[in-house]
Amino acid sequence: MARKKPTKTTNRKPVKRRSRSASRKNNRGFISKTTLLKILFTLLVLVGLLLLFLDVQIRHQFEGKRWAVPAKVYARPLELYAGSALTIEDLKIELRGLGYQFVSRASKPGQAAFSSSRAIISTRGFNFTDGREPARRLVLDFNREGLSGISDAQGNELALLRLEPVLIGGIYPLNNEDRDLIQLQDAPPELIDALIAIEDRDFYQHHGISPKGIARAMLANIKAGAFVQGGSTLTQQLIKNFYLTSDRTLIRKLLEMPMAMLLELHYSKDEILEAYLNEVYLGQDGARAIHGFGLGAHYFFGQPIQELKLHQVALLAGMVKGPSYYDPRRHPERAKRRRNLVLSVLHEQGEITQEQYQQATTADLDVVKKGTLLKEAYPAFLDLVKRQLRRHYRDEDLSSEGLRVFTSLDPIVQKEAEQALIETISQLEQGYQKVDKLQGSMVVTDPQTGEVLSVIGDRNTRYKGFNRALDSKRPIGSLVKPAVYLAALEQGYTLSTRLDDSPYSLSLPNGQTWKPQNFDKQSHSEVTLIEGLTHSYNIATARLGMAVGLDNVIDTLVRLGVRRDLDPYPSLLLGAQGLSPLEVATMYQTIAANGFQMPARAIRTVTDSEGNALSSYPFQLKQTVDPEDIYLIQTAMQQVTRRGTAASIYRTLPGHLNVAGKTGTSDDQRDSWFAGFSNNRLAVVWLGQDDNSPLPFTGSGGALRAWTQFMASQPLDSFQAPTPETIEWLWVNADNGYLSAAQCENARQLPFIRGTAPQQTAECYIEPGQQDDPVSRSIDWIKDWFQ
Amino acid sequence: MRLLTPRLLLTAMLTAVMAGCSIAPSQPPRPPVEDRGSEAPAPTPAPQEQRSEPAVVTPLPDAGPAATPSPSPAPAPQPQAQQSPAVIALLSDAEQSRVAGDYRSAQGSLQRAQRIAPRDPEVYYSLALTHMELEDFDLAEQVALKGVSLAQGNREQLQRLWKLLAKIRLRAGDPAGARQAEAKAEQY
Repeated sequence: MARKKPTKTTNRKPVKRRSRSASRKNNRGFISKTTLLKILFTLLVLVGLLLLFLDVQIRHQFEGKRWAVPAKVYARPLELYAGSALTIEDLKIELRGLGYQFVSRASKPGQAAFSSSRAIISTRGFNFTDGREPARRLVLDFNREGLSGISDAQGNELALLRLEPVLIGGIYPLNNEDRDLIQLQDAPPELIDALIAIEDRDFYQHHGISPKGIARAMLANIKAGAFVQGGSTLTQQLIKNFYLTSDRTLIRKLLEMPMAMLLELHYSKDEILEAYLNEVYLGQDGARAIHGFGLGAHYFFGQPIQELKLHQVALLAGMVKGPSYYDPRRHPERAKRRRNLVLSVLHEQGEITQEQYQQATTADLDVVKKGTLLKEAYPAFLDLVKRQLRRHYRDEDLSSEGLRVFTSLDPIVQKEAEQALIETISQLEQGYQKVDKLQGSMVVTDPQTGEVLSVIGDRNTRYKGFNRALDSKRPIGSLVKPAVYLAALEQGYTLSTRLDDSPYSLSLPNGQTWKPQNFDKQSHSEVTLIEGLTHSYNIATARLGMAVGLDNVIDTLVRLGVRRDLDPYPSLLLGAQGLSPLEVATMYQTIAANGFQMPARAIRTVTDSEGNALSSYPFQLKQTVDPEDIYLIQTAMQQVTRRGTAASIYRTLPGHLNVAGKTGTSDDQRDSWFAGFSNNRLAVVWLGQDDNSPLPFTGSGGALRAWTQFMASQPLDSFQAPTPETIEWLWVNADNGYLSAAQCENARQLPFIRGTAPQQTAECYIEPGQQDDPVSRSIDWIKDWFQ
Repeated sequence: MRLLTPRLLLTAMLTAVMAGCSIAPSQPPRPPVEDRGSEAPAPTPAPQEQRSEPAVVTPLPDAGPAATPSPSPAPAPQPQAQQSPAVIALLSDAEQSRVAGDYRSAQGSLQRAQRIAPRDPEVYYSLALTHMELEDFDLAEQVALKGVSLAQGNREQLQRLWKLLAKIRLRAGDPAGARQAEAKAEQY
């Protein structure tokens, strides 16, 4: 719009002024030849000036940066190596996301063939920041554990390679134009043939406008009695779309022709054609406008343009005339007729053989369903990426410079997380008649690297609105307890310290009384610290937290990574504080990562359009909690999953697999939470209703189910806490926490920081030196034997 | 033969003891990565006995802390510490880049290695070294400490890591910290 205005002004006003002065003279009934000549001369000068102005405009815009190219956001590339836990099904998910065609023999890039334990894929290659991954044919062998071997076409074993990453989104300019720039040589020749045949037969002959084309169109229109064909050349169409507005004004029409001729004067047919291929409008995806054939190929067929077949390119060429009218998703029959018309013109002109024509006209449209495309499929994750990007980049650079953003999103993990969350939500809605607007969100990270693997912000995972994973702030309930207990351990408490769980009330400064209750409405007089957390006793926790001090608990929460301002109210101890699932993930990650706090990272690298790295987001970490204290809390959190409030996990997960976590239920059961981790996955699930109404289930009845289903779908690495040197495992009495021995009744092993062993001993306890059990005797015997 | 017999005997007995016992620190060398947490640190009696105790809570629960002293004679198979060829390749790429002074590229390779083997102290050692060369001493120190936390039980790795920490601290202008790290290294 902005670029057109000056042209309008130059064109209109002076001409009008001149004509008025002419008419004044006319009134006097006298125009001399000289005056006429002067007028003509002036007009000529004006036209000349106008053309000169247009010429400058045309060249300036055509030679500069032609389009605002949106940043491309990629998922993590799938790493392929022998020993990886990748299954053949996982590989299929990834390849589908990349638009690979599953065929019986993979011979061209973008094709894959599968047997029960082998996949043969022909990759497309990709320019990574640290080098090119070549396009090649690979043989991948699988066994029960996962990927067992990789070799190339020559049979050479390969240690490691990366597939091309899935494009998951873009960051668009204000006009919401999305495009994927291509070069002329990227376009299949059939596309060019079809486009020229159907839109501008004389393209290679004319100089911007085609009198023949106009005549032909007029004839066709007269014959049909309606406007069926336009006489615009491709050049004119490019001028119209690239330089002018789509208003059907005479002035625009008048400008179009000289501009088209000027463009042809300066640039080759190939340059014009290439610009056309990238400018053309092909459809609308919500607010996003689909421009150019490169993006069109992805948007309609889920494939790169180079891989399209004749029937597909014919459809794209045919759609140019009316992208909405011929939208193959909304009007498949109409689109097919149009495609076949294009094919018949190609056939008539001898561009394709009878056989090709037959094959292509009988082919299906092959358009992929909108819901299966991975671009724009993860709005919640993309939201996180954009927020992290905006800390370092300006909006206009993100939406116009063609930057490439490499993220940590794992499409396989995301798919399984979505499935677990959605299925659980619908099961819960079926099981409980009361809830029908249940919402959920979820965050999955790799607790070792701090990378975010998946984010879900709404049960409708493609919904671009409110992102609950980042923006909802809901009370976390008992998810806060590990922080309370950790604060206590840091103050010198041990796992066997006895806590008071008898009824408790506290007068608050505002005159109210705070009287926490246990979930079962019972108090348990005295419990050990580990039992307090395992069974999530509220009273014991409240008393403990008050004894430790709210400031100390807040300090621990901050060191675990909570950035929000926290009010030192006693209710904080039972999770009245609202946090987002992402904040909870950050907090639990510090526990999972042995006391190293790591920011949740969604971005790995940002490069310019050429692939040169602009910024990288390295692995960052800071030890904020002592490894010994973390080890103790990790042990307690494993008890939560083994026999505490989350023990139902082991109805699904195998018993040998260690996981740790905590359930959370807010006041009146308005929020159902679970946060937990194995060595390689940390997941936080929240379920609740947007109107904040109570739920008929707790954290373990709701969120934990989704968490367990998700974890069961993952190649889990059992949680193992590295045991610090200063930790010793001792036998204690499970009820009173007294130092005990293996043979004593009710004895269990607990870790203690050296020097903090319980002072009181159980009745049957024997000093270590006086033990008389066969095993120690054998050890002693062997030791003696060695010496 | 004379030498072999007692050895065999010893092996058999050790196996018998190990089968049901959590072993004290003086145990045969074991693979460095991935499985330290599963090694029992406590010189405590055999877990079978724990199971045989009727009063002890069900075996399943106890498997929790028993990720350390395992309740079963055959602990859950843990991934062996053997480095995969993929990780070896990436570590060697990183080494080459580092020698060539291309630290960014080394960092890239090591972060790839970290995603594949996030509990391999070797990866953190190399990454810390790279950050040290980049003069990002704070991060180098933290990465090395993460390596230390994962190398528990692996004396050789612990020594290397503490020596590296000493170097990092020295270069960061903290000679006292460096001396402490040196002293730590000498413990192994």
